[in-house]
Amino acid sequence: MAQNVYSEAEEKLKVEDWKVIFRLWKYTKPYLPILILALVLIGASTGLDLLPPLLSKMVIDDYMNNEYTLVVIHEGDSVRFIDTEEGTFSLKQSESGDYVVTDGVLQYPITREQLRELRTEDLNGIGQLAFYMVMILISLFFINYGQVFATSYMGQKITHGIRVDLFSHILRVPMRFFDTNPSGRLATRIANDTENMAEFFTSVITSIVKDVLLLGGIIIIMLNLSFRLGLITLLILPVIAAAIFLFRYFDRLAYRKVRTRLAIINAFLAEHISGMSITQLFNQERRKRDEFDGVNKNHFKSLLEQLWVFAIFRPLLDLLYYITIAVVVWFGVKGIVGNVLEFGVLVAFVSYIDMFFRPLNDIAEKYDIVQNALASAEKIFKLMDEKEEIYHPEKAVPSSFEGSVEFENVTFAYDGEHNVLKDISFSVKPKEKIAFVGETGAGKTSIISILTGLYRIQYGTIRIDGKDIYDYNLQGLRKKVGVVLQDVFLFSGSILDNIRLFDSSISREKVISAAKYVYAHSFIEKLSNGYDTMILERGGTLSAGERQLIALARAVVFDTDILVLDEATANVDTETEALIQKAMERISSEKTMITIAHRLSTIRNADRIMVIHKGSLVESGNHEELLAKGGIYTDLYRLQYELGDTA
Amino acid sequence: MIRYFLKQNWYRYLIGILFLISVDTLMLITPRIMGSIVDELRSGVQDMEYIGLLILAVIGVAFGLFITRLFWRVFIMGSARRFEYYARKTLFQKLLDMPPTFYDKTRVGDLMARFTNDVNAVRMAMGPAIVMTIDSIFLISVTIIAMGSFTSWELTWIAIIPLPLLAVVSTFFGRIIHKRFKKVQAAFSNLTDTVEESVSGARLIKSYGIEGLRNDTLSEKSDSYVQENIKLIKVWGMFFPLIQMLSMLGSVLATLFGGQMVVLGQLTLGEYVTFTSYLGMLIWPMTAFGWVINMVQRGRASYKRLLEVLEEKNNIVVEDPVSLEDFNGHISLKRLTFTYPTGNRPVLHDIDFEVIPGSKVAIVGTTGSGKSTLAKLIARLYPVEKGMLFIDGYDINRLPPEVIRERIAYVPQETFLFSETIRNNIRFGNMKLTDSEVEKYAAIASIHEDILGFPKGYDTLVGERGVTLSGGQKQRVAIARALIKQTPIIVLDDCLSAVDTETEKKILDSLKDSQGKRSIVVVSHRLKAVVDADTIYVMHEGKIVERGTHHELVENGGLYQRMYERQMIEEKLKED
Repeated sequence: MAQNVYSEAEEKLKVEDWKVIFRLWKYTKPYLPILILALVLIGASTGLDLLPPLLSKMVIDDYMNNEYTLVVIHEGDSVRFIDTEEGTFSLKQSESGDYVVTDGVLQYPITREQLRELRTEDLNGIGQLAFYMVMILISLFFINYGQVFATSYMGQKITHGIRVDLFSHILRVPMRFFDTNPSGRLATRIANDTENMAEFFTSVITSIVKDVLLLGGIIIIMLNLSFRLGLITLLILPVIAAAIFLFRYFDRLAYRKVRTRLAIINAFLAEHISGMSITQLFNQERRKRDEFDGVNKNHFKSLLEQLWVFAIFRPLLDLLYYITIAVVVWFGVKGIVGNVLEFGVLVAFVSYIDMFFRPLNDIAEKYDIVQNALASAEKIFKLMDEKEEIYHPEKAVPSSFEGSVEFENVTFAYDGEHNVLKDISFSVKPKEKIAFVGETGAGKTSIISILTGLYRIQYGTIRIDGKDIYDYNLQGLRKKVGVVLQDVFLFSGSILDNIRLFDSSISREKVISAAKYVYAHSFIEKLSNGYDTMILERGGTLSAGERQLIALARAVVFDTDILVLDEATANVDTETEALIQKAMERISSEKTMITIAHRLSTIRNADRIMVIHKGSLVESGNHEELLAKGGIYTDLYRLQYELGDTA
Repeated sequence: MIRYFLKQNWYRYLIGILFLISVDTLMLITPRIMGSIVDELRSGVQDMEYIGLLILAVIGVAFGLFITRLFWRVFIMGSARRFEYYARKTLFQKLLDMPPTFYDKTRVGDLMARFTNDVNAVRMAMGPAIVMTIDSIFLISVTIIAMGSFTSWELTWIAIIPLPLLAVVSTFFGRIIHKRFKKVQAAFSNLTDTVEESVSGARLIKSYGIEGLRNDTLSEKSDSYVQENIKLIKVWGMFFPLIQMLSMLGSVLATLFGGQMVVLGQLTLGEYVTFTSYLGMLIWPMTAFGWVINMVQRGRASYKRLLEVLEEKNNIVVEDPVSLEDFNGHISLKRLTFTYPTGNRPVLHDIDFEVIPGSKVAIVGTTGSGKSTLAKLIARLYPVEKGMLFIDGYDINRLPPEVIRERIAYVPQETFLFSETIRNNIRFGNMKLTDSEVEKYAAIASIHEDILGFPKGYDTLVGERGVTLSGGQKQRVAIARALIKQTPIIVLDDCLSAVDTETEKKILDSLKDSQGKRSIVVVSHRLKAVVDADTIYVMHEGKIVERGTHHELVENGGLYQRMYERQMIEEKLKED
């Protein structure tokens, strides 16, 4: 039962491979020289990889197994052997390794010194070939190293490019997008999926290209060494390839099963650890233990299935290898006996067959990685196709605003359906102090969301200094409107950087004077490293009030002309509270100030109070006027300010 | 844990190891046969029948290898996977026994990591590491002996000179690679943090138009990640080419010296061929040597982390247990003061509290006043000092948790439903419950109608793969789930907050009606729902500040009265 419930939905992605590859190519282009270099290095390394068996063959055929035609000359007690074309004697090695000179009838022993003299060329030849091999080894080392480095470097750089593009794109999509896409998922796209793509470059280019070249090279060399023997080997090849691909196929199936069941285990665990108290409260420990055992056993069984796939196929491949070798040796021996094949060729064949299995296996293995990488690429590009917000950079923004704000028949819904603000109209004069009040969920904070066009309104017009906000460069406009939210967002970084938002063109002095202006200086000074104190865990160690002071300093540092502030309701001590009030008082003398008010002092100090109720603007006026009315404001006032601490 | 597992499974390992040793031994035969073929070819006699026989022998050995390889894998790797199963089972059993205090201080993610990464690391040490150790030690020594005795000791010593370097290189590089890899991971999580924080802070970024600056920051982090990667590649990219070079250096030495020996008659060509095959067989176990060391180290660290969990102590201890045959359900708290085991300040002070069997008691008060803690203590979720909390006159420390839980149904504040059908969620405490009974309790909890409205009724799955229930629906399912226990006492810990006042009142009333004698303890922040309670306790900052019936408390003009007034205004505003 449990597995039905937790079974993982098969994730199926239609990969339009070619389109994706084409888009990838655009990012690859700048690194074309490195790509070419990598390919050249791969070619060179493949070529060198193929050489050692050939050299071994040469050592055996040309030097070790060299045929000699000798003439035997008797000189007193000793014999001398001379190598001439017309000789009738030959060198034969006995089972103990010792050589004799024989013509089939007569037989002379030959001393080591005599052999050394006779076979100087062979000895030198072996030495020379050994030297070549060392050279090959050394160059292979450098070439392989260079190639791995070049491809990885390229992969990393390309991925970096894609990541930076994707990130800057995401910051430009409209705010609404972030409401429906969890930040965790977006972060996965930007960080992990791009990472998968880096695999694509290293795997595809390094492995697959090399594997294909290697296979081709081996086949060509084999056919050249001995056409007959090569052909016989090639006849076995499809069987090997089939076995390997079959193995990979079964392995993939088994692996998917393992992965799905592991996911079930993990889902079960995550859920039951979180819900442990329920299991315990209902005394269901035994049942849950058995359920987990079922899930766990299922996973174990699938692991064993996977193990059997490996247990059978891996030795099977080895068996195939030995059979191939046996067949090749059998035909090879026949060829040698029939004098149509050199001895070393057979040895070389054995080495090449050895080399044959690896690339085949590799290609089958890389298939999944490539699929994965392409799937990630597709997800990334889909995100890149998301429409960006239009900032109208061509439109102008004055160097400073007078600060008048006007809403005319504004209706707004976050999702386009359920209106949170209904037909709201009001106007704010430059440097006026406005307080919005209303119940939680009445729609007050939405005013902040639409004021600078973060969200698009459905109907109506918002004007700043008499001009529709969409007739400004939005990015420029936003720089002039300071926003302080209830829960102030802090980046990891120093307090200094959080105030100037990492804009290093703003000097430390300016930041400090802004902090002093909003009375944030004294508490910052008291922190362990003052302005250089690092913010940890999104500023969890600072109180909500202190964070608002930092946000106020931000608004001052950025020379904003309008300030919108949503007062923090909780976690503000009275001392900080007083500082915020003083700061607001100071700021409001220079800027237009719109506050979502939760404090009595704020509404008392406001020039005008606007009451929002269920998305509509229902009352407005100053504190005394509204209280005298005895309407919704009166209730709100009692609720929020007189009975404030009874929730 | 490992010791116990090995006691149960040692024979599997033994059989596996025997198979592994057979594999290694069989592997030594083939190169010799090949050598013999070569020598036979060169002897001049060239007996094809004999050669044919030798080739058949190669195939025979190959089949032998097939069988032995199959079985060592099944036995050794199978045991390692059996261990994985066993470790998870043991861990989960442990978790089932741990009290809430343990879960308060342990993150789910951390426990999950132990279940996955650590179990895996230990498994690796118990499977592949064992294989590689035996392979390395046995194969290396046997192969060297075979090389020396079948061919030439002199050549053997020369050719294996570079091989120990393989072990050194793989250990050394393995360590550096691991170190740099960790740095890469750190840089990666740094990058992920920046991305996540920027996406979460998108609103702030847009509000101040600082998209460009953020791009620079990301670019910088991504770049340092790339740099760390490149640093890793600098070492990692060298590793395999270096291994390749070292291992081939041995065969070059074999070619050079072996070749000369063949030329000078000190070695036959067949012996030379045998020798080079043996040499090839040494490369893998030498390289594996370094990996084994690293794998065992990681396995040991992970095993420690597993033991950490397994050695946790349960802090709910039962002393001098009582079985509570006849249960009345009289609860009394006497001057109870309580501090969470993880905290340092008391959250409840001097609480005097009483539930008379069959009565309805309400706990109300300001946020964070300790209402919930009080309810949790009654359900024995946390350890209480002796002499403060009594049930039917017995100190709660004498009552085992399961005994209490059979008699007191506690419904927690956070509703947790399992990703199963609604039916199974309701009958969680008793899977034998019939459909009609399930529906009966669902009706009492006012959720029956809602459930019928779902596409699959009671068979609807809860959670991501099924229907997303509203907060209120979840809470009502949780009430139904608690009701099936038919306990004499039910404790509702503010668990109807997402249900409207009318429904909450209706549910609370029906709880009382269904069982005339049931005691109900309800924590609520909605006073209107509990106006008819027999006693209402009002809490503020960890103390009981008022007690009485609704009317008495309103008359009193204290905290309760202000709270009540506040809620009346709120309601009026909603209706406007």
